[in-house]
Amino acid sequence: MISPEVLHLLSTILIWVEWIVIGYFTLVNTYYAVILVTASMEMGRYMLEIRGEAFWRVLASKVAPRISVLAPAYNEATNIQDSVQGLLTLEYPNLEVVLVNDGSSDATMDVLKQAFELRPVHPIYQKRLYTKPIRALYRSELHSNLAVVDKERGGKADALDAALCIATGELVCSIDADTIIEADALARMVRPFLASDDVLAVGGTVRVANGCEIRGGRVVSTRVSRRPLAGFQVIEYLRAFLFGRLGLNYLGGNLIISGAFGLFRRESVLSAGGYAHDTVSEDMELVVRLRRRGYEQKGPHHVRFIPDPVAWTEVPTNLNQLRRQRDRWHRGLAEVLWRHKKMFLNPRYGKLGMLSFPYFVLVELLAPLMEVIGLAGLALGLYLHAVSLEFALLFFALAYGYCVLLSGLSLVLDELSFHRYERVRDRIGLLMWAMLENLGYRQLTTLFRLEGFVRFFLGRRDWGVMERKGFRADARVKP
Amino acid sequence: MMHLVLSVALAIEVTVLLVCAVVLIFHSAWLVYYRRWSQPVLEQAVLSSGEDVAHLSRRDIWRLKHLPFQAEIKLFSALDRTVSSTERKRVTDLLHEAGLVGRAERRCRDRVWWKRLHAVRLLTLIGGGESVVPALLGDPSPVVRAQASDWAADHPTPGRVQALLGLLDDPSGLCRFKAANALVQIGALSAEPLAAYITAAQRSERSLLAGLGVAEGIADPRFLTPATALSTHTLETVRVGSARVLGNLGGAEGTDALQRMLVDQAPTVRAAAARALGVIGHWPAAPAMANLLRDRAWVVRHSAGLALRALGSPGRLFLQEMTTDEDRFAADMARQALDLPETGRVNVP
Repeated sequence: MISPEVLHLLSTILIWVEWIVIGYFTLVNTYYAVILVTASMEMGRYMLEIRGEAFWRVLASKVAPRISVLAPAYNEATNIQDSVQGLLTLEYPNLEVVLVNDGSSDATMDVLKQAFELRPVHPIYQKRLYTKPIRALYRSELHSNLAVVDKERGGKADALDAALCIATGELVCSIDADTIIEADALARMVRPFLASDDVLAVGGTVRVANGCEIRGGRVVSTRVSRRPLAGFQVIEYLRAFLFGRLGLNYLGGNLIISGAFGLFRRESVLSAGGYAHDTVSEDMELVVRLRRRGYEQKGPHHVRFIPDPVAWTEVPTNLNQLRRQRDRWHRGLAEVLWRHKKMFLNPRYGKLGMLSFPYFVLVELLAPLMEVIGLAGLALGLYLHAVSLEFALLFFALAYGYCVLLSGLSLVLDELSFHRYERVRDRIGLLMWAMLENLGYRQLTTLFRLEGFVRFFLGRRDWGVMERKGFRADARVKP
Repeated sequence: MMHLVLSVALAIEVTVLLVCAVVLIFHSAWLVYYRRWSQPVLEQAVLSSGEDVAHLSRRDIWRLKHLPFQAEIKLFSALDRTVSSTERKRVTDLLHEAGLVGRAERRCRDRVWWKRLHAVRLLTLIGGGESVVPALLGDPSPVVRAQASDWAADHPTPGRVQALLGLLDDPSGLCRFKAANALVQIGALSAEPLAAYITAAQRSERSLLAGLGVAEGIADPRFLTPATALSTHTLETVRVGSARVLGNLGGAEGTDALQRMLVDQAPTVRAAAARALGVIGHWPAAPAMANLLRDRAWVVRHSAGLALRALGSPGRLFLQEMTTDEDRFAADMARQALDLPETGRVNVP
């Protein structure tokens, strides 16, 4: 039995905690509101600029910069042939594909050798980055612009570094081997580099392939998955890219270019020392390091996100895979932000240090912790009668209604700009997933992210395993 | 008070969500509607026989005239990739008759940048604009200038070529790229003015490099003299650019200049010269390139090795000899170069 004095003390503490949570909630939603406005402005301006542009004209260009696509692969025997075929048929005039087999234990190399008639050649490249030993370098008899590197297992970052050394392009596009890039994506992504010498990297939109129809390594029909997990992730990805990353273009730029799809200046990456091998978020760490170097050395430091180049990826369809993924993402976020903590609210780094970096710390990193504290506090408050049920319900509805609103507006942005989902039932389905997302799924991912946060403090470094179902030709990706 | 605030905020959220739902449903319906009537109209124009414009109903012409400008852009950019030149002419005549060209030309004088941009873009797709678009090569907006360059590539005249050359020094990288692209596409007509451009004194590094990039793409013999003159320029990047141009041209004058560049103080220039001689297939330079396998810079050794490989039998002989050279870096590069496959120009930037 709790004494009245203790009860009173608990209630007081609870109320203070809830006010802190409300203050945090206000701060976060103010950030979101600002990002929503900037995302809408940026989308509007960008769509006016590119509407009707004949990107296909760059196909005949003799002055377009060379792009090397870097694709690390580990145990991708199911997907690899379609993936590489898709890369080789990208609509870009001056293209090289460098695929790295990172010590696969399955038939990945056998599939590649057979499908592309690989012939071993003596490796001829400048080792500007340290990597695990390269066992062999292959060139294709069928496609002169395809190089395959067979190396000892070293992880994704190590594989990308090896590919960087082999690549010859002025720009490099890092992707995941199971990502499907749309045919005109590179022709679109190269535009910011042509427009400004100050651009270091460009990111495009990653969309969810689950439920879509894939033929010949291309998404031919965009559909929304009927399965809740995949459906919720469609909403998440749209919100993250069309709202979050686009909006950040105005607020100091992005700290993340998706590892599944990003275009970089090769020389800048090599000069910065390539990818870090000691983090699970090597993609984010590279971008932050590049930008930091740019500010410190008064060199190029802009990272832009543009919404029209698209890559498709398969997302986790069971809770265990989702949990490992979100755990890793949040751990990686914490690692990178901690590593570069010097930039936090540091005017030396301009808008990056004063706006963008604080956003990632206060909103992205701390959000799961504050959300759990807020929910737990609310529940305890109700139990102790410190908070009325009516107030609690209203607050809950408002908070999660705001998330639904952001998702809904992201869907509208997508519809007005790109009209990807042609069927009415798909768009209705997306709205439904947006509304249901906050009734369980969001809370689960919050817990998974919190787990990642805790594991960061415990010093965990592992990746986990993602089981791929694969994009078979003439098949629909399993919803 | 707090309850009131929360309730009002919630009401606003619900309202906005309902608006989102309406937009999601009805935007698509509008797109389906305009696609359904516009597609047959254009197909009829494309498939009509003879030289006469397809006879469309007054209603169809009225609808084309009143199609929203953004919808016009979408429609004709989708058409742009799929029709042949004859079919394009039929569509262009149809659009002239419907008054769309005139409307786009009027919009080229609009005060709003994106209206001018879309107008030029439409004229690039459907033709027309001779009286208004050339002036947009000097537009205040860089994206408008860039789009005007695309139009100029399809409608070249000596005056427009000069304007495009001026854009090679534009502050906007997109303009420079589009202008360079347009000049390459124009080809021979731009050779003489370009040769004069890169010969002229006091050009900035940026404009010289852009000009040399275009010259490399066009590969006209008229660039031989200016490129040879630039092979001794003070700037390293310009000398590299000139080597690339000379590599596309060849000739005695060019190969002499390239051989002199094999001993340039800058490694990037030596590498570019070696690469260029390999492209030309100038086997008399093989001994000098074999010597470059001992160069201290990897990029020079690499380029020399690839170039020797590209020379065929004479180059192979030198490579084989170098595999036993006392300089182990030279021997290694020679061995690697010999090991390359026959097909393709591998690892050549």
